[in-house]
Amino acid sequence: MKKIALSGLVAFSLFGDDLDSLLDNYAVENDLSNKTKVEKTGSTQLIVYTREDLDNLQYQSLKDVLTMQRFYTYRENRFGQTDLIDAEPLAISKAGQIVKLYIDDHELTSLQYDSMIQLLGNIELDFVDHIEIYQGPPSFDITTQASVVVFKLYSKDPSRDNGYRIGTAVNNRKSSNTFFHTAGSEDKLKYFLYTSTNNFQSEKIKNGSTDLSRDENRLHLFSTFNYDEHQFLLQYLTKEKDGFLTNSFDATPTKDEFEDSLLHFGYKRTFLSDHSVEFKANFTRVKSEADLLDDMPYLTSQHLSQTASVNQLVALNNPLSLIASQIVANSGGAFSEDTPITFTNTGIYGDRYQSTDDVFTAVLTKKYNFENHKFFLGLSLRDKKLSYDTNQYITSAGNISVGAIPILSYSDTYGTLAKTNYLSKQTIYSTFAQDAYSINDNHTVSFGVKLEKEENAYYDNATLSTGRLSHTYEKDNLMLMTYYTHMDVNKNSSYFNSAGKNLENETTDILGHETKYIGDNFDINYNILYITMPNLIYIDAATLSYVNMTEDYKLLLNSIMLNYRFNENNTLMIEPWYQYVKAKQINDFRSYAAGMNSRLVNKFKNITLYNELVLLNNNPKYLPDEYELQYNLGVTYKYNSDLALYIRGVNVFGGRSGFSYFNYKDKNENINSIEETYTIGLEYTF
Amino acid sequence: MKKFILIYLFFVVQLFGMSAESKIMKLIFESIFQKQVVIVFVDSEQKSDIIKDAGFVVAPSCSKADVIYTSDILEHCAQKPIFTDNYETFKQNRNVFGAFYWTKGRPNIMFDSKRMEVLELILPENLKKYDIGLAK
Repeated sequence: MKKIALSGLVAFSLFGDDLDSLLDNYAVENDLSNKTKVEKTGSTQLIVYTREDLDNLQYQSLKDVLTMQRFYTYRENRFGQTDLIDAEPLAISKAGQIVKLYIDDHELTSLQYDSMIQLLGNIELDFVDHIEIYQGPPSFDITTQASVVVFKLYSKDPSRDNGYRIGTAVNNRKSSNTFFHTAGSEDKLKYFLYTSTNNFQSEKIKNGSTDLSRDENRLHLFSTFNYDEHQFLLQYLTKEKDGFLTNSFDATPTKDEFEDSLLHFGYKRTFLSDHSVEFKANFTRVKSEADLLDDMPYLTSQHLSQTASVNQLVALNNPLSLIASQIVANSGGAFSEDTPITFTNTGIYGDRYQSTDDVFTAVLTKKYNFENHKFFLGLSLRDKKLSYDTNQYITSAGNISVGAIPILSYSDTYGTLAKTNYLSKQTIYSTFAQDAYSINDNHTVSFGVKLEKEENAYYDNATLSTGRLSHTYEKDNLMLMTYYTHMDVNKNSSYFNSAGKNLENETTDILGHETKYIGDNFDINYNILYITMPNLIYIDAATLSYVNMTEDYKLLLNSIMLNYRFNENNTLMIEPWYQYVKAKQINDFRSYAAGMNSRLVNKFKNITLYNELVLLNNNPKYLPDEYELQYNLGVTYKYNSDLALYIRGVNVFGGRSGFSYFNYKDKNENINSIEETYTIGLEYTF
Repeated sequence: MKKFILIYLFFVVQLFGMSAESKIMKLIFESIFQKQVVIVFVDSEQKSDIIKDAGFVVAPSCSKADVIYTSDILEHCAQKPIFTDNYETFKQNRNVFGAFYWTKGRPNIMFDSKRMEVLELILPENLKKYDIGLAK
């Protein structure tokens, strides 16, 4: 009996008296992202930034997360907006079509911004509990939208974050942000309320007599309300932004003002005791205003008139030009420092508009689990409307000669041109189904199909299909997954031309494989993707209109990610990657790029240190090689469980981290998307 | 000695198989009620699983229980010592001696030693740092 008592006592002593460490373990076990990790295994590569990660790294915005992604890093386009893939030319963003953004399982999309990554790519993360990133086309229970990368942000849980939290940060460029949130409950009602103000200042880049600015002021209100099975989301975001280079060909805009506001309402609920039926509805309204003026615009950011086609010839090697390298690349190597080449341009000098962009989405899904099947079925409706309340232009008085420095005078009178809003309305009806069949304990085959009917106001209606087939092998700590996805992509509003109503929807085919092994103190994930886009929409240089390619645009992407845990306080992530792009139809363009992301996190009692290194080497045809290096470091000191202080240095060596622009005066110019900044901040919970 | 090692291993394996939540409940109730098998009445399936996982017995009614583990006050069990996972319930009811709940984004534990005295319970030394002594 004594022995039993003794053994019980010894076992009891395993707990120690340290309830604190048990609470820490409990917090880790019950991190909201763990639910995802358990439920979504077998999907494509999932990367999770947990609540603890976000607290320790003190990431200021989604921009910090985007920076650390494989195959691309954070980029900004000519307007200073997030654009992960293209950045040029102008408002076209392929990233918007294949990179999807969700907040609390509601997709944020619009006709103008598509996935809204362009509008919200630098959204602050103070209201976010955790982030899930699906790299590779995911299964339909993650998203039914055509996508290659999906970012899912989940806001803080009202039942866990009751109390108050306030935080503020400033950096050496005089940027600042302040946030406050509270959560609580009244009977069955649980609420989370959040507000933040952000003022972003960046280095003004001098180009001739023009100071190029991408400063931004933002106000963000976010709230969630839960009542029984009902979950409501309401958020409002407004931002004023300087337009940076705008559509100014030589990067000397006279006016560059943008203002956007987003109103977002979401509703979600489940039915039945097993919560197998889910209904969600989502409404977003984006109101945009712009006031642009320039003497040499490349293209307007908005829809052109079918009748406006003034030919303007601009010398690419004008000594005042600050030309995006991609434009040089698109010229197919025809550029030379000595021989002028010409671009045909549309002569619109001033552009003022106000637009309203509404999207309503409703989705109903049902899950069935029977025998070895996990079946998933759904219907969705998406209705998009884009209207212009104001739309005014100033047009040019004449043409510019080849090689000349443009000197023009403006009229203050704005006229209204008759112009076509090509995607004023789009309605998409979808039905989808997916079955994951477990052949045995090791093998699972999954097949999904989605059919869509797309009705457009201008373009021909289309019937689209998406299919996904995957095989997963899991044994012990090893997981192998091979998948094939065919996606038809919805048209977006970027195609502002009059080339005809029969512009085809783009198609993307992806063949992918990943191997994952989870060891005792490490996990390793190898990933390869082969992507072909047979009818990619691009600007035809000869006609300056959007057309479908007739030859495949191809990408080969490879990456391997290693997460190594020295012990519970010291971790290392390292992810080298490689990609090859071939676009025969764009002057036989080819690009080889390789890079590596790495992060080392060390904890010492109340202090967390992290170091991040981003390396990139891009070798595009027709252009000089680009080398990028970004080194970030940060220290977070938790004075106690309520008060945290932190210091962050971003791109501390001031390395290249953005698209290069060609300046014929200085021969080369790089404009960093990620500036060298030093931030100090604190957060207090009470 | 072999028997001792086997029993010891049995306890160790049991402990490591438990969820952190069950370990916490085991530590709290064992320390307060000074017994290996505590009889607990709960108000949900989820709590029942946690209590069983901790190696305790789930009581069919509150009259047979050493302690009630509940989110809201159950009128018919009001005379028993109550432990809750709801801070509001803890704040508003004098016979609730402790709470394990989420606030400010992290899990918290609180006890009220003065309420425990009235309930003829003693807050053990290893839990005293969580005592807030509301005394009302």
